[in-house]
Amino acid sequence: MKIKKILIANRGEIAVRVIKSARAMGIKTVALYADDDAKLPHVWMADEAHCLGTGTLKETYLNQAKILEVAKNTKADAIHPGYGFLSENAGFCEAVEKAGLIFIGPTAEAIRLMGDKIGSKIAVEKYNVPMIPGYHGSNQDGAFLSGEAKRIGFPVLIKASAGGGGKGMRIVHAESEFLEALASAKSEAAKAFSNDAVLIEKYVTEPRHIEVQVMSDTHGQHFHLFERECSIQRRYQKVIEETPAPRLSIETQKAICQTAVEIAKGINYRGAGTVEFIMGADQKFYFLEMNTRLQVEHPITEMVTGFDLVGLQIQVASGEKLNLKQSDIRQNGHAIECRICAEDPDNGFLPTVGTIKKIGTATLKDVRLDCGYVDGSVVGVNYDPMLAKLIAWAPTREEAINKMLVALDEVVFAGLKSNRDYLRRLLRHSDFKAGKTHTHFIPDHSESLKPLPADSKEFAVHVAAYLLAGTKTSVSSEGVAKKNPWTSLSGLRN
Amino acid sequence: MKRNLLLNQTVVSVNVGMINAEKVSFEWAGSTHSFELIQRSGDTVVLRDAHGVQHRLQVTSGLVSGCGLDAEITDATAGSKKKPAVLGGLNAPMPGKVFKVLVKTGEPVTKGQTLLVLEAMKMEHAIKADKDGKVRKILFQEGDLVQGGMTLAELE
Repeated sequence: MKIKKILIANRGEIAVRVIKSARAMGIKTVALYADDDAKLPHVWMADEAHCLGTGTLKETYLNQAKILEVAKNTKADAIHPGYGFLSENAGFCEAVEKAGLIFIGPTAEAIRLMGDKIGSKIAVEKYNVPMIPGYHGSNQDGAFLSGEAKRIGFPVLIKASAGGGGKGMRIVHAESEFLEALASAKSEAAKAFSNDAVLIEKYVTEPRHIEVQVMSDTHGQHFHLFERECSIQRRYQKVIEETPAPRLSIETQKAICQTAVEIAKGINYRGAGTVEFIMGADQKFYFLEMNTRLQVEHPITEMVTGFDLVGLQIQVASGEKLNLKQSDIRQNGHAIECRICAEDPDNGFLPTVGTIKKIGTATLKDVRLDCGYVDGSVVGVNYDPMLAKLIAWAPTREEAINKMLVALDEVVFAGLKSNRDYLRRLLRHSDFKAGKTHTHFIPDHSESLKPLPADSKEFAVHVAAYLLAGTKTSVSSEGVAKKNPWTSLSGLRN
Repeated sequence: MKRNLLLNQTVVSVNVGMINAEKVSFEWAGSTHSFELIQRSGDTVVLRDAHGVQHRLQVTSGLVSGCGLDAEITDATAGSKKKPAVLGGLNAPMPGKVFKVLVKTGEPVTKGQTLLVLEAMKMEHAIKADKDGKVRKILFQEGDLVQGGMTLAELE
């Protein structure tokens, strides 16, 4: 069924992203916005926009009844859920389809199957997918678990079954430490989740987060669009992503991509999805989970393969058979993405707020900025701190890093503190340049990622620029404009 | 002529030898630097140093960005120094909403005990007692919105 109008049940940069592809395909768009988002670009870039009112997320962007009502009134054919929000809500998928609309995403069944960390592991096991050796059963006896840990092989990770976020988690390096760590993990889990059940897993050393993009249509075709490495993370949030994954052998790349396709095929998947794996220094990889939606970092795959993933999602949702062979999909060059966030990495990564005075423009070729804000946008506390994604493509990884550094100079996001300077330090770090990426990169290198002291010689040129061309008025934290006497000199050439 | 600047929230001192509309010469980090303003177009500024090397920077609203570094620079005056968010102090380190109040007025507390939990941007931040004492006052209730820097609790 040809889709003529899409309602986007999301906000910010991903809503802008979907609008762009829909426009290119001649499809009309309906945007939704909570009252405090009224001035954002996703609202005025769409063909129609409807206000969800004020209130909590539950009353606005997560308000299924309201969303479906707008869809009905605007006669939308399909709903694109973006990422986060309702994108992996099986109930919403069902409600959309029940209302006679197309859900641009997988089936509710696939969402449910893969939405459960333990359930998804059980589901994929039958497709010969490597799993992290572990024990997930109900026997919680100390001596038994110690035996299991020995069987799995140290180091092991003790994890709370009922929750996450690091609580109830302990790394154990030797048999002699096991029982004490177990008691401590159980007590923490009991306090945090009222459930002291734990599971044991092999602890992968220098773990890398490697994921594979898959795309399935409704005609039995399942493709992969290669891998992405997302190891540069902080508190389980990705900061820098890249493709191809550095230091990956061709055999491993083939194997991991093929495994992802087997999973998509096995569960008869539909649409865009990402299969996530953990890989050790020995290039052995293990299934972690599957995300049944489009991911934040999808642009790097687009830059390297040349495909529009949102466009493919819409084609699949329209019932089209993708006119492709796996051999048509190739990786060309290297792409890196940096997530620019409203946070201060030099102050505990605390979120920052403010008004964006100027975003800036990336001038080099093959540099893309996916941003849900414009100059003048107000960034507050209510939503995700990610301001934009800056993506650079080049024929080689080294060039992509260079381009990204230039782009970070140009895309200034003046007006509020962001993590751009921190991103530069990550990109310039010798281990990052050497491709020695793993998920503990940021905590391991925290000392060498600290900023330069304010009186460093490197700032001479910045001081000069300020003295010669600093803004005529400077705004202090109290919001009072002060005159800078040095720049009110007349005769400054333009 | 000595000038005090606030650079990335630190007060720094620069000794300006000479400055006019196109040239500046100053002492910084133990050496003398001279720069010429070659071009200014919008927010883009191009400086040429004494060796003929050119440097491109963006100067926007207190932020000087370029050459791989950011410097937030303003004149340092009394009161313009930002107080860094006090982690672990009894002030809100960031704007947010009081999610949970865990203690009552008059309750004895120990150093490191969580008094309140602040919620902002899907993150929870525990506000902990910075010393042993008794709760003199909790200034907000669950559900209240707070600004960064506001005092949340007082201990005696």
